[in-house]
Amino acid sequence: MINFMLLVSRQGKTRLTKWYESYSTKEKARIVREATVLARAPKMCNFIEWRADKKIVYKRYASLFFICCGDRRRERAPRRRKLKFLPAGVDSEDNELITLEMIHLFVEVLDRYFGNVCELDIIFNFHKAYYILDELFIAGELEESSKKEVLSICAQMDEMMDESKEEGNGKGGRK
Amino acid sequence: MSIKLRELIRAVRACKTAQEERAVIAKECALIRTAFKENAMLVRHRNVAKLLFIHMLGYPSHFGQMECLKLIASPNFPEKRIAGYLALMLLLDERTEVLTLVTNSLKNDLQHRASQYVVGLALTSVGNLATADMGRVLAADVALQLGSSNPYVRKKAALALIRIMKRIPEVAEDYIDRIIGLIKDRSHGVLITAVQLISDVLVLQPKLSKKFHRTVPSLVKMLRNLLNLGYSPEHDIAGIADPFLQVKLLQLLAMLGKNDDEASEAMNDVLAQVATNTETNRNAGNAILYECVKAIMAIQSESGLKVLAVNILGRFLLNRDNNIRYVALNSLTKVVNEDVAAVQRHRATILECLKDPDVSIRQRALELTYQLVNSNNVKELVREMLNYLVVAAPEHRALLCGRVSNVVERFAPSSKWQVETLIAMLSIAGNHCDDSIACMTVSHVTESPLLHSFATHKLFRLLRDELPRVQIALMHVAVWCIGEYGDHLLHSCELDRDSLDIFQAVTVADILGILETVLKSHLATVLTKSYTLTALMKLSNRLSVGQTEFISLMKSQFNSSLSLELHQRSCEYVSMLNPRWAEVCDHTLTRMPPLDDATLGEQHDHSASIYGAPNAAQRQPRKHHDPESERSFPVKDLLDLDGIFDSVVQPEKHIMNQMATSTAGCSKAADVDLLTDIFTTKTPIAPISGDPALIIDNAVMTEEKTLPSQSQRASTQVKAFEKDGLTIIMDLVDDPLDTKTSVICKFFNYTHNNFERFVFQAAVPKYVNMEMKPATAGSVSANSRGDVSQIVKLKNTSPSKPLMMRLKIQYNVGGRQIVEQAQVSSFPAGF
Repeated sequence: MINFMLLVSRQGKTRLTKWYESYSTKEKARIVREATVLARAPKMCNFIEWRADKKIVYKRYASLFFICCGDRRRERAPRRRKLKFLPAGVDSEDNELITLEMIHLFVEVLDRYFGNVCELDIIFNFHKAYYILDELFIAGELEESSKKEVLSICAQMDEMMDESKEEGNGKGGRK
Repeated sequence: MSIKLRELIRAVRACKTAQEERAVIAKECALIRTAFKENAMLVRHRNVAKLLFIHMLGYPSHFGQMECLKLIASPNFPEKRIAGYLALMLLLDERTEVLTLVTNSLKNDLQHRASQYVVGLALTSVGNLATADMGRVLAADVALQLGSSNPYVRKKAALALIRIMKRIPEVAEDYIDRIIGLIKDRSHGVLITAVQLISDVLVLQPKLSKKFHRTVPSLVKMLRNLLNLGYSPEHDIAGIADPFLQVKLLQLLAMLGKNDDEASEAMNDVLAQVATNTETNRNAGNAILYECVKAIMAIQSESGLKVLAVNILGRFLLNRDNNIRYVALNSLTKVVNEDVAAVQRHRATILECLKDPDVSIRQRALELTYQLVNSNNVKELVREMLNYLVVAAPEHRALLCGRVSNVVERFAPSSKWQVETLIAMLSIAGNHCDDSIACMTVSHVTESPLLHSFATHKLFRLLRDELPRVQIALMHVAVWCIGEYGDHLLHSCELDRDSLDIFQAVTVADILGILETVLKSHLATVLTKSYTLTALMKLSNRLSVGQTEFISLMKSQFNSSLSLELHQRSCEYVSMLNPRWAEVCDHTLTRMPPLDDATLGEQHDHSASIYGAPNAAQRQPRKHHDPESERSFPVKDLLDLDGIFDSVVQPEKHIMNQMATSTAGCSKAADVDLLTDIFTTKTPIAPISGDPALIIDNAVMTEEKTLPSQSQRASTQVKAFEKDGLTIIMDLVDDPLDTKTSVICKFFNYTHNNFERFVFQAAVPKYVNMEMKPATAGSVSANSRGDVSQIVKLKNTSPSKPLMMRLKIQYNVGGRQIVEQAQVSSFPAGF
């Protein structure tokens, strides 16, 4: 499963964070610092082995890095297990290549939703980026593989938002 | 009036300094708080949205938590969506206590009839946040939604159930049928989530796997349908039908087919179809192939299929894309145990990867190389590993050193090669390997006498060439070998039987020069210095030249060192160089016997147990300088004897140790056996004072001190102590009733002053049981003749060993505290 997803700009500013495991504020800050991939050359592979049993899958789209953290098979005796119930011998390793594909799916949906998405879209409409993310991933697992389906759901929900705003006589209109 | 979210973002972005930004945020936060307090209905969801932005920037936002809990219950959809659920998922997490308050709102929303989206929001939140407690309350509602008529709700319910299951695994048992029902679905979203759900059930509750075996045919059929499906723009990526679903299916099949012949049989064909028909020019295709290979390796597949899988990995390995190469190396690591030969074929490519600029690839390649080593290729592969060690990042070096030393240990073709390799490794990464590797090198050198000369010459040259930037472990090993085998340096040494190259002989001055440089080097730690001192000491014995240089070198250390350890050590050594102790010296400095690793380990334990495990490494140099044990003791006693020096230079500490030992009755064997060693082995060497441990003591402590251990022996009376007017006489009385010997210690004060606060303590070896009674009085008055006494009961459990005792006497006289120590070993035989 995906442990967390980060969107980090090339300058190292965090644009979006989504945590599927629970971490304390301090840990989150440390992870954001540690999981930085800015120093990697473009030709290098998109995977970094990180901590004892995690791996980071990242991809750069224009000025934004999309960073996912997946599970890796433990090589040595696990020091602390996140999943207490994971029995020995079961290989719960994520497929890095398909994780890359998931990142790409997210980017494509963002692109269609905003129409040629750029970093500013995500800065000013961060809540919408989160809505889309929630339509694609829950509990760190992929939820839908069809872009069309995700986009139509988002459109319908946006419509509902607008309707109820109009009903409320424009109270608190945000646009 | 509150500003809009967009305006806030703009204002923050316009800030030029962090201080400005803080000011803007502080002002806005204050406004939001006031608005929350005043319960401003109209703008509250906008305020929460602004708060989310502030939270993302890393500012505290906890004051908004309650507000977002309130808004979840709001009937207004925008409020519920942005200010309620989105804020819930961003501001709170599993560990937040107020989260339980939301359980009821979630339950209501899960049962919401009017809108699928409200149910969807609630399911999303359960999936991302649920705790075990929430899971217990909500599991039934979530599972109910698995049967919803709406695929949008079904897929979210499946994922929410995964979250609940991870918190409370036993939940799975109740919903197996409903879960299996999901794989008949038509929506890809539901299929993906259902397959994932089943995989997680298998991971969390392996005992349920039987129940899922009947799904194998439908899963296989689903995969086959996907492969045969025509173009469907909705789910295709680069002409491949829904790679996400394919990958999930393959993952699940691998789990089901593991250790199950029947299931494996059923999926062989479809796996072969996937493996042969998938396009590999796009990432999505490779992802599927990669997962397919993993599945083939996991299940009981046909051998032909396995060959196909290894070939796919071989193809991956030759790919130009680094991602694919990484994946290939990663999976080959798993294959290598089953089919070494197949992987060996790609050895050249794998070694090539060790030189890749990308650290992820290098690490994987290293792992694989390590697995590939056998006795035929060890030379080649270890050479490559050492080459990699040169460029490896410091944090990886320790692991790598461990790996290299491990394979060297297992497959070394000759001990010469082994020692050469270890030395080479130390010279590359000596700063990063742990001490055990240095010890191992030393012990390999000791083991083979033929290598003594070669290794010492080599180390000497390395040390000479690389100073002052030498790797610390190499320095230690070199210094140790120079000390131990320094005499070999005076003769030249052939490199090889065939080659004409030789190591030229070295002069004594060179050797001393090097050691002096080491002592002065800024890298030298206390440990290094003590190694060097010991090496000098040994050399004084090995090289037949005047000892003046040695002494002066050591004195320089002695004069300048603030470290107690070095100070004492050099004192001891300087005293030992006195011709009086030449004989002791000779014995002490004989060559070390070969050590094996087991012994090394044991000694580590020993020293740990004696000194409360402070720093085992610190003590290592010591064990090298007391080889007299060779004569009469097995190697394992080395450290015990070593302890003698401790006991001498730190008598207080040592006695205290023994006190603790005997009174607490616990078994610090090494500590107490020490006494035995002193008395049984050393007496013949230096009979002058009867107690060789005190020889050095005397020499070191410049103050005049009468030898306390000249105990007089009486038939039943022993004079245990006599000094400064205090005499202790021990009356030995055999107690027929309980086989113990009562020792009545009588204290005689011949002075005209009272001895106040008189404390008498005794320690005995482990094999003697001791019981001390309280003294009859707390002070010994002037001119008293045995009025005060104290009874000690002893029982010698090992009659073959002599009875002995250490005493510590403490008293105040004229306001001055006096502490005395003595040993009593002259008990009459039979006690």
